[in-house]
Amino acid sequence: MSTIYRIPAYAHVDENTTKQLEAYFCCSTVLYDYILTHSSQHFLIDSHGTFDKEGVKNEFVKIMGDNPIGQNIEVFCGLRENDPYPTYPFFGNTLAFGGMIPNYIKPIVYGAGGWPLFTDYTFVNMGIQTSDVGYGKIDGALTRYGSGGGYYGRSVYVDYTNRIMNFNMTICPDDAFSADGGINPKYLSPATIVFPGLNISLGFNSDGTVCGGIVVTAQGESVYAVDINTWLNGLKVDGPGTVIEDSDNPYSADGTSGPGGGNGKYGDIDGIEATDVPALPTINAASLGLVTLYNPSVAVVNSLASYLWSGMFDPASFKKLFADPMGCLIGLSVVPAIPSIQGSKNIMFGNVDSGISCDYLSSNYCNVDCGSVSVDEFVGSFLDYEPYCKLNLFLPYVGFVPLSADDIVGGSINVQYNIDVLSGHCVAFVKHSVKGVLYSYSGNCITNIPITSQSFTGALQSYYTGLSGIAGAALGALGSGGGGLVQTGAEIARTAANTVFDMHPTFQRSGSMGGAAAIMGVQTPFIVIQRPRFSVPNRVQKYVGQTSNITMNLSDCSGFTMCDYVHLDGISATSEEIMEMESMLRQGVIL
Amino acid sequence: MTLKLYKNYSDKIVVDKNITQSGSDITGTLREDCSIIDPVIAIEGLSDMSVNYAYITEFGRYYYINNIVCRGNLFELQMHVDVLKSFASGIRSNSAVIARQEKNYNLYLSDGVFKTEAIPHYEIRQFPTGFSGYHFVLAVAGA
Repeated sequence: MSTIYRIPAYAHVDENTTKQLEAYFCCSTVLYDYILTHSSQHFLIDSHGTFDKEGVKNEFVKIMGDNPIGQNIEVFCGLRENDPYPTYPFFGNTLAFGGMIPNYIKPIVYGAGGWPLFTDYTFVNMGIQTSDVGYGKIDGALTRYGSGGGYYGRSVYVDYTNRIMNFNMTICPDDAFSADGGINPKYLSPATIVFPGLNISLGFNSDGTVCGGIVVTAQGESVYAVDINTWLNGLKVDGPGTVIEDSDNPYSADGTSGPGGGNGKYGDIDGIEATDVPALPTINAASLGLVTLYNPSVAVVNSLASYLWSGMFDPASFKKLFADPMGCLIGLSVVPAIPSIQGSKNIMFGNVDSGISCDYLSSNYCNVDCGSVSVDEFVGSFLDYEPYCKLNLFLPYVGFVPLSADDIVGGSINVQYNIDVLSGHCVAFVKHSVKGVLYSYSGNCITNIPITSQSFTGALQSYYTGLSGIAGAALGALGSGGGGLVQTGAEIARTAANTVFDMHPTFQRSGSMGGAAAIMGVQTPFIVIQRPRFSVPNRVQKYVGQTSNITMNLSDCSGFTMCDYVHLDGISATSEEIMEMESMLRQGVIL
Repeated sequence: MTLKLYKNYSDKIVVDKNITQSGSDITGTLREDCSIIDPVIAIEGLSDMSVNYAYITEFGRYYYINNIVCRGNLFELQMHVDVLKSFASGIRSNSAVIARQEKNYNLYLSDGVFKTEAIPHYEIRQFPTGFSGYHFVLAVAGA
């Protein structure tokens, strides 16, 4: 004999009526038997309502009873084991079945709580219940029942009275709102950013727990069945239609701490707006007409001297403008560069024409370009840069100046001078091929030739100033050299490069180099590049590797490998073994 | 229990050891408590005293033989697990931040391992041109 499974259907009579109850239920598959129960035993079963109803399918069974207000009707339909499509008995509604079920009969399905007979059901693809009262029909809601049961889609009637909530939810980015709760100004731009939204319907059980739900995207493209209780993930549902969110309590689960930083302009700030050597001043003393700068040759200077001390020079006419003959001579000097020649004319002392023709200058400024020298990487490593590599540049009329290897190495440097031949001041510009002018130094490149006793005193003063600069530099070099010797002696054993080169003393290679002394000095710039001579044992990489600081799969590494940080996962070993492995990886292994 | 004895010719930090099995497998029964990390196993009649490495099939691990203690005809092998060889595939399935590597390196990172000699290397380069010649400049008031 086959086992008969009796599956229940429920209805509730919630209307006060005096007439006799008359209801129907149906089973869409072969019905083998049924049992009708009720609280007060007021119901009768019609002529069909006898046992041994095998063969009845899609045929309504009539239920008759007396005034069962507030009673639950339970019908158990017997289905044969292994029925290919066992289905659930249900009460028809008035629309679908022509009023065979009175309005006061409300079919019920309980998802949870109450009668626990439906706990094995899974509701998916639920439709939206538009009314918040009454009950509704959901097509295809019941897709599975019973352990090991088959799949079958059909309608289920659900009592949603006061148990439905429809609401919309907007999905916002994390920074949609500022700290004060207002909308982040970045989202108030004319190009309004539309955040995606969701239409959500939730069904609730009588005890307030969520029994199911539906989520529809704002675009209406997809419908997702969700496990609402899991999805809400901690939100407290306090009765139908009310979702209580956490307040701004800083100790709530949300907290106040969040990620930050890392939003700099990294990657965008790598531009170099190189500065060029400035052009010469356009306004100069020579162009004003108050001063004339001549560029006499030695012969012209000799002629001039002869003229000044000869009878040809008429002091009487000269004294109309100047107290003595030398009053109009501003100076005679020697410079290493000369501005462009504008032309030739007789040298004039006030209104006295010497009759000696001489070239004169268009400007008192000139530029001297000494060309470029490239400073390439020597090793192609950290040893090519500070503090290991030291650069010193000799600039005529300035002296030795230190340059940063970080600034220079890998490019070329160009040296240019802007010179004022009237005052003798010069500015030396050190220009990098990519980064532009990085250094500028001032000096003096003039040697005054005394043409009076007073100017001779001034010239000597300038000369001694130059010598004292050299002497001071020499003393400074000796002082720092002594200290350096002590340090070098103490560090007999050469250790790491970064230690050793810090120990090297820095010697000053010259003092201020300018004026009368500088004219006797080196006239061409040169650079002294001092690099560490490193000692590399053969195949040192095999024994200690080389600096890496790269995140890699260990399977991609071969040879000596030392890890900074490693967390071993997926290895079935004891914790002691894991610790030993991580320790060895940090100390270095050979893969 | 099955014990395989080997001669290991590799350093301890080498993951893939160069090993050669010595003799045939030794089977026996554990008679006392035995650590899986530092097992001590006594065997009878050890013929090759140059073995220094072992594999215990039941433990699934390779072991260094740290010491062999003779007790009459019993030879007590004091061992310690070789985690690198035993879990080589698991180690290789992980990633890490590599501090030093033999073939993947960045030489612009400062490295204290390298040593330098006392005598530095000098390079002195002259610029193509400089100041050449001297010039008189006579400055006179007036045009």
